[in-house]
Amino acid sequence: MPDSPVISVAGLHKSYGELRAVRDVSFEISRGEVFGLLGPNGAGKTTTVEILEGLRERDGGAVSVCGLDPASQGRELKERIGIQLQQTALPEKIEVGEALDLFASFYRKRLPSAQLLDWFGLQDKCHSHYETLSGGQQQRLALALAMVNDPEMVLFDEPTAGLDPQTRREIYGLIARLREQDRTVLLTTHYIEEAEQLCDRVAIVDQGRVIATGTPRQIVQQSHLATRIEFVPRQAVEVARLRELECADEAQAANGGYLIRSRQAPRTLMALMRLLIAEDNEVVEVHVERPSLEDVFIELTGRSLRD
Amino acid sequence: MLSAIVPLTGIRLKLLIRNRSTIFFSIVFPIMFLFIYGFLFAKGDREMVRFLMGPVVVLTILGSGFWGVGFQIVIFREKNILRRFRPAPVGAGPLLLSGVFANWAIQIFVVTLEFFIARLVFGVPWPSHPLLLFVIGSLGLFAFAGIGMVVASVTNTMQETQILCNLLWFTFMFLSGATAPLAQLPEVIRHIALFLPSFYLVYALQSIMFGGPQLFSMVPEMAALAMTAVTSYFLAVKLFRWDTQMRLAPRAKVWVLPALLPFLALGIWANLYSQRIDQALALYGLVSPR
Repeated sequence: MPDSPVISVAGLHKSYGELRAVRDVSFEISRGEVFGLLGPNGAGKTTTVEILEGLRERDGGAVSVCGLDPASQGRELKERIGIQLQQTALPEKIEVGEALDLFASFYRKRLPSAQLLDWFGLQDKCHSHYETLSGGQQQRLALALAMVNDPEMVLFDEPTAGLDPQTRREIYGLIARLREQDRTVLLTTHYIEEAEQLCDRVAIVDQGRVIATGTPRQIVQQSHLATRIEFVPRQAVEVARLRELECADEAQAANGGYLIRSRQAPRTLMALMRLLIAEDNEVVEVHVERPSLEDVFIELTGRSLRD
Repeated sequence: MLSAIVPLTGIRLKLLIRNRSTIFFSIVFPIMFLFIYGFLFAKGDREMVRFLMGPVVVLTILGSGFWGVGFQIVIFREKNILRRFRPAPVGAGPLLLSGVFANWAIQIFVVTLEFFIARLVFGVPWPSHPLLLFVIGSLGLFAFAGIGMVVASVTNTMQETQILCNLLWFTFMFLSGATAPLAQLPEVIRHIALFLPSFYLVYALQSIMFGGPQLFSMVPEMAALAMTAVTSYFLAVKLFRWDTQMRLAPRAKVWVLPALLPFLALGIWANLYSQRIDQALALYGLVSPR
């Protein structure tokens, strides 16, 4: 019998006055899965996560996290999950080790702070004051604080927002380690690469609604967007023959070579290779570009994620 | 709850000690008050300094409640520090109480230091009832910390907090005998003073300094201080906000009033039945220029 989902959300609703922040949102997250809520700012991601964390009341729908209802069993739930909220800080003069020990003291189950310092690369900073940490170190500490109770699932709200690309990659590494430890992770993000790199499954959220759910690959495949195959042959090829290739939607000469759009790229590529061999031609350069989740978002909403 | 209060209080104490501005405003500033009162107002006269120890200690307690406890909550809220604690299984109660207890520990040290300095520099005798002084001083610390917490809970911004803190601070300071002795205030102000918690604290401390009333006669003051502390704590927990996005309506500021209700009752009782004004004037008579 398969495990029951760690998080189950069905028909979730939340409004702030006239604003309907979350509208009929439903999804499930299995044990050990890294699940991403991807959407632009103001899409309803944070509201959804804060309802799951028991920090905000819902107007309607059913929610279960680790078998508990966050609205009525919030205290017990906090013992079992790890939470990193957006835009938080610690007192300037608190030491890193002190912060870990302090937060650990609030929980029944605790991880040793030495282990967390090692895990999050903060060993050298154990006695450093919070105000002396860089932005990346402060964020690593925020994630470490979410882990002090050895949680079975963690919820990260925009864990890399505002960080430079190198620090973002460091955080990706840390989250990837959580997956290796078989912990369930729910993260919100508006970074495409974050969702594509980290998440087993993604729900794309816009204006309070989930508009697509699945693995990043599934979402792209389910869309009607074509893969771009750009190539430069040794000898010229007739564009008309490229248009006749299996599953090719469109072909044109471009950038000193050719561009083919296809929704079945592997088949089109095979057909292209056969054509070039038959013509005693060969490929000098080839570049295949799948549509991204950003492209899917634009297709579904007509807007960019960063709009 | 207790398991969270102990480590939180420990950290709050460490943070207070590490912060230079806290050291200045919590320790150096009150000592400066003692010297200003001692040399400027009392002109070094031992008995007058003895009399002014009440106002000096009350100013210490008052300042720590408003600026040390109340203001600190607003700073923590505005810097998103409280927000970091929100996901943890720790409620508003332990967070607030840890600030109160850390402040209490620092101020007990400061007040003790003030008495040592008064003894060494001005030759002021030790208080006749140190235990009573400790109990009333502690109740005062808890009561004013409570009022500071309520102010922090009903204000949305640092500016609002400053305005409300200053309004209460100046009222408590200037109309209660904590600056000018009650004897030098107009008759009507003396009756208003009977509604102010700072008056009772000044009176109680001065009485103790002169070996005055015993525990029983201080019961109304102690009860009012204790009730203010308890009422304020529950109000502050009820109105607690974890971040600046959670805002209260302007009318919520009236929640400060329930915290002062015990003193409204005490003020009415004292104006109708007690001899507190005469007793306070009599204390001043002991040291006024002969």
